[in-house]
Amino acid sequence: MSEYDARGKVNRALLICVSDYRHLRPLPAVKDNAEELERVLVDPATDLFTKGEVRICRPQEPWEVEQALDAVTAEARGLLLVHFSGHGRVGSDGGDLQLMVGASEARHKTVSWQDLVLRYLDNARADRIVIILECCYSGNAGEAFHSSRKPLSLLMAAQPNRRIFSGDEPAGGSVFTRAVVRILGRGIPGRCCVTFEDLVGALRAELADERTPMGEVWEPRSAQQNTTDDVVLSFATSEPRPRTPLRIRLRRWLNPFLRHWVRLLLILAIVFVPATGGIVLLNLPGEPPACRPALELRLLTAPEDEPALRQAAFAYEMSAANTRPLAGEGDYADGCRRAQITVYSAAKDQIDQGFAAAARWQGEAQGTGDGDAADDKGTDPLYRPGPQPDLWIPESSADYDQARRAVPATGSPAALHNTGPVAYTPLVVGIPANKRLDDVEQGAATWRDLLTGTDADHRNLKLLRPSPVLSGTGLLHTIGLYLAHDGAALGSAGTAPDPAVADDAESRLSAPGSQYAGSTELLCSLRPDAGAAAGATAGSGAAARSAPLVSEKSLADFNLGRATGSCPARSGPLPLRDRYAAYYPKNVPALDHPLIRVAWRGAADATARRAAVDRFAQWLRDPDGGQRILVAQGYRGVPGKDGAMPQPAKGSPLLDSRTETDPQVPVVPFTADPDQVAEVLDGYDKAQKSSQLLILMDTSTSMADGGKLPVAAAAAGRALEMVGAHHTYGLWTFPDRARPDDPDAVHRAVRLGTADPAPGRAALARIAGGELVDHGAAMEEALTAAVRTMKQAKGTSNAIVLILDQDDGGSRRAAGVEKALAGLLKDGPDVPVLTLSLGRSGCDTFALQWLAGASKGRCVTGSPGAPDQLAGFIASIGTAAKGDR
Amino acid sequence: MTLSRTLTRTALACLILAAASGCTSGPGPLPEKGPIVLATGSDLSSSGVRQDLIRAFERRSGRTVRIVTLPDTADGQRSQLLAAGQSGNGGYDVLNIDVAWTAEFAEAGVIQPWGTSLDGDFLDSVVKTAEYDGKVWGVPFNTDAGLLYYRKDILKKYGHDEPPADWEDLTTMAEQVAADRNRDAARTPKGKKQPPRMYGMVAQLRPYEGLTVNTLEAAWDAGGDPDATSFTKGAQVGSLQQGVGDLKLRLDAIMPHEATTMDETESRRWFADGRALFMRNWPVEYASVAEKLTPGVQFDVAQLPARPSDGKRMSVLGGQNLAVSAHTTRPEGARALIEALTGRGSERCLLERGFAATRDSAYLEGAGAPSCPLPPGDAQRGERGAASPPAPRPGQVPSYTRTLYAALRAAQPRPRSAHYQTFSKVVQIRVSEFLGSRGRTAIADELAKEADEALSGRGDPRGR
Repeated sequence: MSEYDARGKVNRALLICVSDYRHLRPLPAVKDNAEELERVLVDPATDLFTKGEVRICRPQEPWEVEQALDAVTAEARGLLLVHFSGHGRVGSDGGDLQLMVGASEARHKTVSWQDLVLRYLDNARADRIVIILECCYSGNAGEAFHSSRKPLSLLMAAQPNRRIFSGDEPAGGSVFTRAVVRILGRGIPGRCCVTFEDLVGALRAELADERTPMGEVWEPRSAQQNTTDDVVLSFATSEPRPRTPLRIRLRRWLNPFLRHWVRLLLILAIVFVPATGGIVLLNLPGEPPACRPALELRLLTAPEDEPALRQAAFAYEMSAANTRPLAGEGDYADGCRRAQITVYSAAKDQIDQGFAAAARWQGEAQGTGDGDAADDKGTDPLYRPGPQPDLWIPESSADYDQARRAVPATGSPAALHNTGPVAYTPLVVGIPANKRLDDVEQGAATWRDLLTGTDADHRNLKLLRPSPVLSGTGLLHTIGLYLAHDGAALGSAGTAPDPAVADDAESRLSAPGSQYAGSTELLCSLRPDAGAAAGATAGSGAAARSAPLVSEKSLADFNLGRATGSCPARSGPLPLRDRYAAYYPKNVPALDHPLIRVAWRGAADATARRAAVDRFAQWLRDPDGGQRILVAQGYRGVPGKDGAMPQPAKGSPLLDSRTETDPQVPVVPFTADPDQVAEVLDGYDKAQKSSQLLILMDTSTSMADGGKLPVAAAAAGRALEMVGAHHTYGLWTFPDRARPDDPDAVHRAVRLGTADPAPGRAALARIAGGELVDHGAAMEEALTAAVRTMKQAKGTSNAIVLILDQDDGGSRRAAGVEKALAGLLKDGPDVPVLTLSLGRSGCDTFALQWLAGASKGRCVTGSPGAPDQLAGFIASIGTAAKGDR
Repeated sequence: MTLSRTLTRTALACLILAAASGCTSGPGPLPEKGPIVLATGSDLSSSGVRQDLIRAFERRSGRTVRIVTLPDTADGQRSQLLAAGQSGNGGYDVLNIDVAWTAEFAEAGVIQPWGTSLDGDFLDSVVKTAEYDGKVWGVPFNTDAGLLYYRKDILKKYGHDEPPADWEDLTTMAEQVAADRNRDAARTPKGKKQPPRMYGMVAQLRPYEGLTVNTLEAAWDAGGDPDATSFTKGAQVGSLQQGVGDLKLRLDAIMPHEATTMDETESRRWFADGRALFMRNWPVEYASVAEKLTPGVQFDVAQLPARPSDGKRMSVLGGQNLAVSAHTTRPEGARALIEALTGRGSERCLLERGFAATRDSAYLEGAGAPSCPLPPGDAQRGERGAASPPAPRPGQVPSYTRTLYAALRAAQPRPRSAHYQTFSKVVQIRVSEFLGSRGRTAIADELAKEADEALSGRGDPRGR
């Protein structure tokens, strides 16, 4: 066996000795361990370490150990010796050895052998590493010793699962350390030096008389990793010792200068280069040049895809693709990030309205707009959807087609370029896992079979869909329902949807409560822990009678218990009874997430911006780049160079059977043409029953306190974005300004049945500007008037949106008011009351909870997200117009 | 004529022209045309005191101010202002920017230096947020500092008259009082409404800017230096590890699991609903809490717990600065507007109406205190982003003012770097992974290295 001789190299010894503990028994003997060890290590007789190569660390906090390890692992090039003496603890299963420092408590502020010490040693630059652990359970360190890739020798003071009795010895160090010092200092008779194996053997002999607390022999253990060589720890010997070779003495003398070699060379170069007239560029060590801010890219997407794209965008920012210097691009210093990406999202209808009003979007961004907060259509794109995007990744090409139609033929400052898909996810219908449809094929049933298989005569499942107006998933599902009803592939030549098919499908889908703002919000409401507010509970009740129309990816997230919309991640997958099995309707195209580059007219950096977007797009489609992240998030990848659609690969959660998906089902590409998309939306609109929305708003002065008014106005404004020819509205306020003496009166600001949102917006602007009434607001009286009107109104899906601070009318209320309201709500067609409560108790009052229950409505408390939540509720009762007014 | 003679003549003509135009600028620049364009987040364009101050400026100066409403999230506002500035498209005159963006906007050429130093009345800690690279880049408009909200009534009931002195104290107190309280609550007789389960504390640990703020405060408490420019040098790694470790310890010991999904609003809701004993939050939430709990009786605010080593109570500074856009065409108007909005009287108005003022004088009491020039009628409307006080009389300041003032003086800005945004993303991603992990793997080394890379503007050398 060869013996590694570290003499003359840059060696380090780190002696970590903890004797004083705040929360544990002190170990006075350990105090001397450090001095004793240092003395013997730098003793000329041992001839290995030189003065200055031994560090002593008496840590109180774990970070002190880290800092010391960090320093010695970076410095040592030859031998690195690490010694620990102090308390040690293990978990109940004997694993995860923890070294205790001064401030350590039972499970806190400890140093993990496996996670911390070994990790540092793994990154050490030394040729050889020797570790000596002297603590209780030190023998357990051998179990977690496999992770290291360095040649490593480990000496453990005790055998596994054994404590040691030591630490109270009189001066001179602990029993074990004293033995180590003795052996290293005196050498072993007949040997020229003390190697690691020699030390282990000699220690066993020295400790043969000692006992562990369990009564057995105290037997130090050793282990080695990644080496079979031995290593010399001391050159002390009882024989006459040969003189240290000159080569080694020379190196020791030179060592302090060695690390300055580079600097010396540079100085020499600086001195000599000018003399010879040559031109040499010197890269002096020091701070690299500062980086200027990277080009800011704005990435707009759907709420469903925002978390995954955020993760991908961040990985790109830090990737070599974004920091590697490019030929011909001298603007950025070496290694600087070229682009940074902000990912944000908005509902589909707001994005469409934004692109339709691109001139206004840009005008506001340039500060050249006309000064109104919103244009005549009420859109304020810079506020919502938000920044002017450089890239837009909608859920599917259908969203893109729809947005394109809304863009004016000429004069728009925003040019949209479709660069093709970046990730796929097939559309699925989730069927409760314990209600699988035996007679329907999971991977390729037609929509017709699925509709029959889930209807009242069979499983009696309620189909739930994200609104085709607000969500890309909802739109593409609707296209699938109408155009691939019989399972035939969508012809690109375009077959118009059959109105009968649309009516049939909508009759199953347009029931109140069956539409949602997006697929993640839909699924969140079905989570077993979603609470009573969502109306659905575990494995029974509404969730077990529901069949959500969503995407494979979002259903996989749901089943695995990952974060879904506003529902936080669970600790693990849902139990089988709460999961949904994915059924893939035949020939329905998958969400294809096209990356749309948006070029804004007049941008001075248009070329750089375009190049930056193209580079990101390329990385996103790279199997070693963005695809890995997207696949790990549950998406299907895009075809590689061979053109073949890749199967879900390693790292894809879809391979987990608990997702209840079938990764073998192929992706169907999107082939519908833009006209077909438009026809489907027309068909949807026609199949919708007409509806009326009455917005009833509290305009008492108390609304102005604490920022309630902007939230109220934003919520009412969001509701107005959803009206249209088929879906009319009215706006009433209470109390009535014109009749200040009658607190029960209602002011009809906009007539019920109005299709144009403009008068509504004007009224809201007046209210926001301070047109309030200094009176208590009597909610129940006003609501009674509203319900009475709505019960008799035209339209089949009618609803009231009630926005209030708090009901101030209670004290003077006539006895019969509540009873009358209850009676009214019970009779005739349902008129759900969707309440936004800004008062101090939120929805947590008896009256509002009763109201939501009695009217089959909902209640939401005031928050910045309240307008979008309310929009989802409005969509859920089927009162959202398709948007292109 | 030779080429050189032509060139000489052209050059001469140019010189004469240049000289002439230099001499004839006599009557001064033409008056600026059009309204002054102020770009801001939505909270300023709605009704409220800041809006009132702008209207008062219009009346006084005869100029009009047009408010452009930026995207409704801070990330969206930053992204749009920066990208539009880089594209040479921002036609705004005044930008209302988050204090954390100063360095980046200055480096990117989106804002221009203010040109003069700030007068000594501005709070020293706050002035730092407007400075970068030896220059002043904006004027502090409103500021913010984190406070410790605590349930005064419950602490008192279980024998504590004072809020905890340091975080260790807080953890012990929270564990003990919450346990006692929950035990007593379990004995509520049947038929009576059972109070919700009480947790020790809530804070903002969702992966967003709030998590960065809480992480920085924890690292500073563990000995970190707010002025350090690197997290890998000296004791900074240790403080960072200790800080995130402490944060996780508190999460595991005294906070509900849901704290990892909480922002300011959600944590306030838990506290106001009686589900937490302590809360770290901004003064902005005071009024909302006061709608459900009685201030001074059921709850109160204190400075954040002190650092054991030196007693400092360092919070991260929030708030906004007003800066002149680099592309402004109305520099005089921009300057006049900013000066008016940040004057002594204006800052006093901000304080009286629930904002944290940036000037020392605003916090004066008695005869020397400046008065708010706005008519009391305007005071009736609250504003988002302001802790509309429980209706103090005109001229009076909210009850928490003394505590806030002390907190502001001890508060510190976030790392002032042109790459702060990426730094914050690194912290959010890594710390949130750490908080969600079961083990206690040390992350500080990795985190500190990545944080330094982020702050340097460079990438991860191992990245693909």
